[in-house]
Amino acid sequence: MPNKRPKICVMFCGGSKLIGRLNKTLEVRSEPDIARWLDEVPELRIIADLDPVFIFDGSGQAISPDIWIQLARQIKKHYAQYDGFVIMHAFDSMVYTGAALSFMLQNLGKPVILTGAQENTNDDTDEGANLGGFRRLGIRANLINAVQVATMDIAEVCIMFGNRLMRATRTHRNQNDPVNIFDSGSDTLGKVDFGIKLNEVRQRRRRTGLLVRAEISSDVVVTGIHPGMQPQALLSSIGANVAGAILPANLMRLPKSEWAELNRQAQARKLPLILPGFAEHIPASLQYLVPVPRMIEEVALVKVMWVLGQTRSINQARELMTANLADEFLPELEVRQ
Amino acid sequence: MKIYFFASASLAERTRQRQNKIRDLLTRSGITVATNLTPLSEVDATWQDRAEELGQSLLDQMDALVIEGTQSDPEVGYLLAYAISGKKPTLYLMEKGSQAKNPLSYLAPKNIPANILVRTYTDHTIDRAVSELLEQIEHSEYAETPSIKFTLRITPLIEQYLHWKTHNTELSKADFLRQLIIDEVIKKDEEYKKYRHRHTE
Repeated sequence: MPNKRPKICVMFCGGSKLIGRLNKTLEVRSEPDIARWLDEVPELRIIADLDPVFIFDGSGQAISPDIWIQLARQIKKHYAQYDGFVIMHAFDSMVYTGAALSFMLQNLGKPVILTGAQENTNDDTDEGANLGGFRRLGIRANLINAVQVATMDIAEVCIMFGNRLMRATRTHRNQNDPVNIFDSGSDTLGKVDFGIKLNEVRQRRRRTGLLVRAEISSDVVVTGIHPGMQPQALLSSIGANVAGAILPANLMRLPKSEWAELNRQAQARKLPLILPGFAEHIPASLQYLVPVPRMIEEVALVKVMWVLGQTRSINQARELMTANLADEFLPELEVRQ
Repeated sequence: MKIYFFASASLAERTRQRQNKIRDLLTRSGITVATNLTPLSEVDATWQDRAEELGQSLLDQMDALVIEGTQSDPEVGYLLAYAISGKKPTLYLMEKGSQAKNPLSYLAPKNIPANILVRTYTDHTIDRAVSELLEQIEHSEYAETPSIKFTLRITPLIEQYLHWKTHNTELSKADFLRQLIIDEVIKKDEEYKKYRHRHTE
């Protein structure tokens, strides 16, 4: 990091709800809200010069691939001007966005840190309610930690939440813990104790030309195989416009004698069937059955969307799906069912 | 009371001696001091467990911060931001003549809250600066966050009184008792004041 005052770009994409000094709730729903919102957290300017960019109001429509593309393009546009990027984001879809940016931003030489409040815009969902007394905790601390990390020697897409800095492609939602709502097992990139300590395994800053590969396909489904299911029934449950399907359940539920028929029907539709964590040998001739190492479920979905946005060639898709592009493959010891 | 003492990395022997003196002064005042001068493994494991359970920084477990920022260090700005955000009583110290840029200069004066004391110091004035912080903690609205828990069995009469006293108020019974101990017991205990005075001199 050069010895100058760091410049950080803060992108608003939801997840900005905070309790202001007068005990009023503030959030960035449109560009004019930003100045008042930033006035509520002046202490961030001790750490770095901040410039805001408004992306999305975080309400109503769920986060979508269009937003991911917009984020990636904005990062590309401002890449040279800033030392790092902080993205304010709703917590419920943060893992998807983190994964999408991990695949879209290639040759990344600077940090991109996602963070946000533990409470979403108009959050009257069960999920929001389950956060109970912890709902108001954390956004200021998350922000300070995220901005500080964005000035440090790291060059990855990460999620900063609570006292953990996590690689976006290794982060999963902790459904049963209302406080530590994200976890990445032993794969944390950093930890907050009295300050922020980064782990050695992180990618470090480097001078690179950022390459954005933002094309993405939304025509992907996640479906299941169940005992007794015939290939015909499985494929007929998948819509005609679908470009790829993920079968998280074990293919072994289908008799081996049916694999060739499943492949034949998938090939006829040019429909790759992705099998995360499938360890059995599949003959190379069954090229539409694509076994890939195990990934976080959300990450696997986003990766398939991204791969099918890059190519429709089965050979290229197989190559990309089986390549470890953003440290997304989980070590065998961390297998989760 | 728990204080985190951060000492900026300095090659100057004099600064390092002063940093050790600040730590000793705090310790002699009866304060539990966590500091970057010693390894994290020496920090009380129960604080770390608690921070992990709550998804918090260890700074959230502290009642106050003391930052010795004679040398420029990005950690100083981070700690000051955290202190402002968390309303922690904080003493930010720089040796007289230090060339380090004060990170608070990036804030408009109205955004520097009263819980942040900024002092330049010499060998002769360190004690005074530390005493100021301790006095501020004692009298401040930012006083210690209640974090120590024990079971107090009370009689039905006390329970009835507490219910009567706090009913239809914004105070909980625990808040009422805490405030009562501070206002009516601690502040009026002359012996305790002398004890505190002796240990902050």
